Amino acid sequence: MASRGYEKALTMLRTLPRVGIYNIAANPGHVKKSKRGRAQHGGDKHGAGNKGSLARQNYMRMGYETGNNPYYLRFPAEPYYVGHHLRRQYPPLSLAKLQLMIDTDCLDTSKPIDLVQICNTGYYEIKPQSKHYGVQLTDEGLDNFKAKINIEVQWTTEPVIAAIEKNGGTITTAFYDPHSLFALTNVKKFLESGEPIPKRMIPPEDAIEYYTNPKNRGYLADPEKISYERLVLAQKYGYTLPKIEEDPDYKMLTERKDPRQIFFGLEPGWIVNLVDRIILKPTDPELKEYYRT
Amino acid sequence: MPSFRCLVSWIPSLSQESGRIFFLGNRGFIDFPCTQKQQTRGAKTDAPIQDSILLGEEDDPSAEDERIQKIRDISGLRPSHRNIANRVLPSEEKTLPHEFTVRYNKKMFGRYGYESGVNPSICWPSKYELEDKKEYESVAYPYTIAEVAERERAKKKQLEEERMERDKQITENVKKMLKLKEEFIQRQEKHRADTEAAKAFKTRLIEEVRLHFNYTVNERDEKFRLELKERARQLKEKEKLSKKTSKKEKLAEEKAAKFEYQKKKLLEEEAKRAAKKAEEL
Repeated sequence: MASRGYEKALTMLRTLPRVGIYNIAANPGHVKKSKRGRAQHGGDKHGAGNKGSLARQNYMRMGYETGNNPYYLRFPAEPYYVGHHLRRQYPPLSLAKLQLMIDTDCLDTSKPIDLVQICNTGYYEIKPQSKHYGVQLTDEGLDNFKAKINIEVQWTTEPVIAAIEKNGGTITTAFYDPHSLFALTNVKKFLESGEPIPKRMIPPEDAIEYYTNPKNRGYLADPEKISYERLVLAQKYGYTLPKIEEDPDYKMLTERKDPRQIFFGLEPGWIVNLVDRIILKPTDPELKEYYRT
Repeated sequence: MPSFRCLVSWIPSLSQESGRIFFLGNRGFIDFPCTQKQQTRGAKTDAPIQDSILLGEEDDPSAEDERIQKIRDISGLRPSHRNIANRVLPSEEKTLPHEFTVRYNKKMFGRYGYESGVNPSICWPSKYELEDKKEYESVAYPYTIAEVAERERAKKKQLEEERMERDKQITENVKKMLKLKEEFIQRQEKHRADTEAAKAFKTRLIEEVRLHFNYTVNERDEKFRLELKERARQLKEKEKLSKKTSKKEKLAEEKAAKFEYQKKKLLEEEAKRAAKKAEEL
């Protein structure tokens, strides 16, 4: 087919820049610059008033109260905020919202639910850069929670544990360091960076007690003690503990991550390529050793 | 190539790892380059970018399709940007300094896979970086989980012990408190009584001096003050004297009492003796 006139015009147009706010200008003479006239041409005070710091345009500094004790200095210390900007934060997720996510098929209960699944729903956000350390599962909507799940959260309370275990589910509290959290909260972005999956670091000293406590279903607690505590909690809240050993989903319900692992089924040190759909594993013994410990 | 290294070094956001230059920083760890893939790369990726719509090949249906696609594309994007949007490997030669960093090449592998021509072995840390990571971890996480837990337990125990000790001390102190409180009240009472007595004495004295002069005198007057002093001296002497006399009287009384007692005893003995004699007789 020979080239036609309109096609040529189209190709030419394509090379030209688009019309946008960045390359259009007002008609000449449309915009009038305001002039600060002198004397009879609109001189006088120029709208700045008569005398004083306003007329001389030497304004007081911000917060200065002309000799008063300024507000920003009036209260000398607020000790209850010491280290506030460094504290770990766990944005809440209520059981009601979790139930809604399950009911609307945002979460698949046939697989273990962890931070990856929750973030991938798009209805929950974690910002590791703002000291967010993961999900805090709260007891709102506890009475209406009916799902049987295997969930891993970062912080929770006793009634929530009871609500989940009453339905035959299991819950674990697990700590992730910020590096792993960046990988967990946006998995696609992380995998596209070509980085090997990092290993999970141990919790800080002030959090170790929480994650080694079987009452909190900590991921570092002894599994035997956890099963004992499950029974204790059932007696405390007065429900019969469903036997997960006889459950058809027993394997799914008891699936747990290694303390060094951050993704289910993937080990630290592996590289996952989404384009070629392959997993690359390190072969260097030193590297293997590093990622194992 | 060394000039790139210095260029990269002052880009502040790049870490040591990301600043590693692709062709230089292997340190014998990475087998590079992956030549075969790199050769195929150009041929594959040139296709969507070349401007071939004006070439007429009427018989070829695929060429016709391509031509239509070209016309349909009204995004106005530049070829390189269009490639990014369509996830097509960029065809341009690497020229910018950051394109030679490991970080960029890792990203290329993550985004385009083997097609990018990057050897995936660069994705893992080099020997040097591994040492660096290990050193960081040894400083940031010096203890194992068990050790950290043990330390935390010990810390908690120590705090508890300190609290218990303090509680114990407080209960002991509370036991002593009643007695100390009483003593304190007594001390206060005594102090109050003393000051009141002194005050009364002074007012009495002033009143007396006033009566002596028979008119209201200025208290700062020299005469008045002298008189006051004199009176005070006199009163004190009087008191002393009265004390002395009272003491003397007391002694005398005691003496008298003693004398009386002895006298009585003697009389009794005499009476007894007389009685005895009478019996004998």
